[in-house]
Amino acid sequence: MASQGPSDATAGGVGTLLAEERKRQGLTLNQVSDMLRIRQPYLEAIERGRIEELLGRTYALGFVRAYADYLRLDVGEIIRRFKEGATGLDRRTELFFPSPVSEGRFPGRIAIAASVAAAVIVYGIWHNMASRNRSVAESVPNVPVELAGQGAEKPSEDKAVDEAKPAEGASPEGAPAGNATAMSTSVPAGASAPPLSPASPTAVSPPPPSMPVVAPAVVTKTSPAMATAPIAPASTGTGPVSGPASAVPAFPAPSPAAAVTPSSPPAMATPAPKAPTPDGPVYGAEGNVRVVLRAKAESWIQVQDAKGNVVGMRLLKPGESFRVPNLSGLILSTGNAGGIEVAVDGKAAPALGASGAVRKNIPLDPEKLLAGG
Amino acid sequence: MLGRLLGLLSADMAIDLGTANTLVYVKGRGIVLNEPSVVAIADVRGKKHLLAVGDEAKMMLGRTPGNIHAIRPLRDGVIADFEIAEEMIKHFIRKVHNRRSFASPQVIVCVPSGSTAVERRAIQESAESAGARRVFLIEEPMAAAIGAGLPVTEPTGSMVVDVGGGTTEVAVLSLGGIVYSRSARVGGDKMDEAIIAYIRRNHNLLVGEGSAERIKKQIGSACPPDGGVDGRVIEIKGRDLMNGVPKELVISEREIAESLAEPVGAIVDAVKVALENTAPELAADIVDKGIVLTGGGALLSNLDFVLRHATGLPVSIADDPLSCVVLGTGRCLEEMRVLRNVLINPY
Repeated sequence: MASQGPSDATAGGVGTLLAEERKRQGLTLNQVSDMLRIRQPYLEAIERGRIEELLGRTYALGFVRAYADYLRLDVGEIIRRFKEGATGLDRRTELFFPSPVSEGRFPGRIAIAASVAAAVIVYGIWHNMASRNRSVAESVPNVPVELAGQGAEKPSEDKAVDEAKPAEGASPEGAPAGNATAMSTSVPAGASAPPLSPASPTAVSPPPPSMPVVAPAVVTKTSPAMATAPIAPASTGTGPVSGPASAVPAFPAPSPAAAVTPSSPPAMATPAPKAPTPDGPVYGAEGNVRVVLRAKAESWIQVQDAKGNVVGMRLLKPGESFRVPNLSGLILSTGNAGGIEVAVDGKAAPALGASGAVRKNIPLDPEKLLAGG
Repeated sequence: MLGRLLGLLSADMAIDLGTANTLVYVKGRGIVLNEPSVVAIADVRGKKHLLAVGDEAKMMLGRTPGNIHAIRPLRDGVIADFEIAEEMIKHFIRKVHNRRSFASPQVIVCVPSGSTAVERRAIQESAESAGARRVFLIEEPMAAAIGAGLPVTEPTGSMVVDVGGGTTEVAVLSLGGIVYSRSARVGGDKMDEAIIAYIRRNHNLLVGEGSAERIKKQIGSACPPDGGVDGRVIEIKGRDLMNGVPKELVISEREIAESLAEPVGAIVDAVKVALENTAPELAADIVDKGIVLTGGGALLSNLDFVLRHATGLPVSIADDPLSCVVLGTGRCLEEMRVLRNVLINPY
């Protein structure tokens, strides 16, 4: 052969053998090609050992077999040597069937797994962030009346709640927590005030915001004597409370003396038979408030508007108050009607019911409340 | 999941249920059985009993007494005797399935591409009755092409001619499917019959099927030798039809080639018809690569030469043409996940 390919040795020298035999018989590649119908480039590739130019193992073996048979060589031996030497031929044709594009509605497994993983990660991040923003005070719900006794068994927890609530309730109203304690001390002073004086028109009117804390509290219809007298002790006892906090105790301090009928002589205003309820924090927005609910015993209240939306819902502890927004159609539900005192424009309204009575759908209409309704 | 578990416990197998020979490929073990498709049945007091299957039964073919029948249950590539075929498959499955007590095997069986639905159903039910857990079918030309190593899944045309015992399958394949196929009911059996008929007609000698097959294998040729010579010769023995006595005579390769002209012509016609029905692009591919011959008929001398001159295309004989079909079926068994598309699921 004129030129031996580099891979000829790997074909076991079959190409050289075939080419030499062809030349010995005086045949040209063209003649062999015409006879075997195999294209001349393939015959040249076989003779020069360029196996990779052939059309795969099956056709390469077939062409070599036909070529060797035509030249009347030992076909079996030629094929054996070709197989041994032809390392470039794949032993096995790899079959890859074309698969149709999936038209299913369901995504693949990988997509589903990735989606689930992403959802879990997003939920985890959200849960983590939500947990951080949640305060301890919010996470502790109000203790229902029925469970109050059980709550007493856990003083440490109740204390934590009590400490948190004033801060929570005072912050939107601008009253510092310290005011609560100041007010609670001032109430007994007012309660132990001298005999009441008759009511005066000025005393009935709502107190100005700059008034001392206890001053309006002692102004009641039934205790006219206190219209002027309590101011001094109250102011001396608590000192002036500036800002909106001064309006907080606008709820009248329920003293037994104040609840006494007007016919009671001043001399009869002896110390209260039982300790009055100290004032606690006042909930609800400020503004043009006409109705104030004050708890003298632990009472659950819920105020809803005409559409049923909850305007406010709390468990009022003794001394705590709730300012009812001045809206029409509000309805009150309470779990302890006797534990709530209602003040309309500073005037005490009749009791809503007996102690421990559950009442629902009490219209918070000032006139109806004053009328006992 | 259950199928995979059962697959571990059973020896799944591929069966080339041929007219002449049955080959069994067991998954992971390769070809484990290659025996003639012959069954010997003994008739004992009106009741049939299986006497022998395979090589042993073939030895009895044409030499049996009255109460024994050596039967070939397949004719023209399909089941001719359902019960005997079932017994034969059952025998082969039991022979190769050592772990039959654990689970029944999954079986892939070849069927001719021209077989009817009834014929396919018969093969499937035979395999099921023989103990197969699940039966898949595969068309023979596809199995032959895969077994021959043709790139059947590529977007290029490949032509395969599988000359079996009962049928000749001609198919053009591309992209993992059969583009065109044609099944001619001519094959080794028809060649044997042609040889018997020729000798009887020209020499008044009656020879058996076994002798005819031996003649075909030894001096059979698709075309007469060049130069007007007689070529190879062979002594044949049979019964003289004139005087009824056994007789021996010598017959030449040229005579056998003449006798085989009709079946070979039928094969050439089938190939030509297939080429006529091939799309131009695929025909262009086939011009380069040519035709690949598989099956026992591919071993007939000069068949490639005849086809080459009849079609003008290069003709290659596959490596180990007798085993191409079962090797291709076995590959489908081994690579069931990839090659599932080529299988026919009758369920």
